[in-house]
Amino acid sequence: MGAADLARAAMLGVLVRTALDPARLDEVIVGCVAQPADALNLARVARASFGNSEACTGPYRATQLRFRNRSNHPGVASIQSGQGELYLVGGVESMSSTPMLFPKPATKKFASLASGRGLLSKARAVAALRPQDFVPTPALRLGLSDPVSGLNMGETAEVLAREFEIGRARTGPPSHCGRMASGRG
Amino acid sequence: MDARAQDRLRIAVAWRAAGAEAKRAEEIAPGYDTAHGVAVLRDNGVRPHQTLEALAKLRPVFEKGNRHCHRREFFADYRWRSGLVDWNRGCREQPWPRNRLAPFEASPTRAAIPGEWGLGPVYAIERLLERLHVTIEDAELVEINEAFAAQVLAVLRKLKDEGIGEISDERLNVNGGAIALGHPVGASGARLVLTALKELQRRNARGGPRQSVRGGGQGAALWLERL
Repeated sequence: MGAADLARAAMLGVLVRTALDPARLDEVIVGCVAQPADALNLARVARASFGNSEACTGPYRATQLRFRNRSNHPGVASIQSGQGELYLVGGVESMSSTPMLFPKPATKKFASLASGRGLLSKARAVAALRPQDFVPTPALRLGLSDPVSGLNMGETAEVLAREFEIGRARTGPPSHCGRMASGRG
Repeated sequence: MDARAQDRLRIAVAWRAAGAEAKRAEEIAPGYDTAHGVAVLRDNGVRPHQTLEALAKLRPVFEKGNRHCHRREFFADYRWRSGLVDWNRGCREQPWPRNRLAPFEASPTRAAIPGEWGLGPVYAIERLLERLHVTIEDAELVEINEAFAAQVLAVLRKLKDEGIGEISDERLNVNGGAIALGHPVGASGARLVLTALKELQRRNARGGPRQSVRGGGQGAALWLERL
């Protein structure tokens, strides 16, 4: 399921369970890290898919989250500042739908293949392809990398694991680990 | 921090998550996967039968020869696609408007050292407690996003080392966390908020910081409280 589908299902679930009239909503705010190319304003797209034109006229905001949780903040801030009373906020992510990025030289070759006229032209484009052209990079991996250290999120976790191994030798095992080790967890 | 300690946490979280399936059902809205023609009604990502032996066989993901972070966590992220509908999790559910819950009292955002961004929650929690003049012991429940086992264990350790406080198992991620449930980066905060609010409602508890790692080395902390 794409992000817009997930958002739509969740929004519908909230409205059904709360019996809220969607026309009362001051704004719908949806956060997402990997915003889908076909639904950049997720809130609007998901809301529009309800098919109720009258309920689709309200303001919608798709928040580009660098990470989690920011969609709550503008909603609360708006209520606190008196701009509105009822906000539908949340986050959505379709991790399986994040794009894979091909190297730029590869995309040029693919473009040549697509735009080539005649069999010979397309054959040339195919002949230019190399194995490395078929190795895409997950966009999420790039997006979750720290621009300063160059480490991705998992690599930073490795840093923490090493760092706290030193600390552990100095001060003893963390209590959390101890409880786990005792068999409780 | 040895790998066994992290694996123990992974097992514990999976058990908790499995035990909280009925609770989690309250947070899930059904969806319909049009591509495959199936209705998605429950989270099928939790692995209650996970064993230490199985975890030990997993290959490392990020560093060769180092299995601190392995494929179970990596795949857990992707299993989220299998049907957890995340969006409603940050929203107040029925009954509305009775039993309203204060969304949060404060929400500081603090940056961590580049390369150690998993520690962002430590600084955010510290700032939150300072602003509210409360201690971590005042929180009856605590939700910390589990980006990785190593990360959450490091956060707990750092909180203790910095004198901010200790968070007992009885208060931390009582219904399981992202290690077991998956880590959909843009929706994790929404899930944490709703999970915390629902549990507060069940327990009629007062509140606690709910925080998650956020924003390229940043952390955010929220204090949720029942009105």
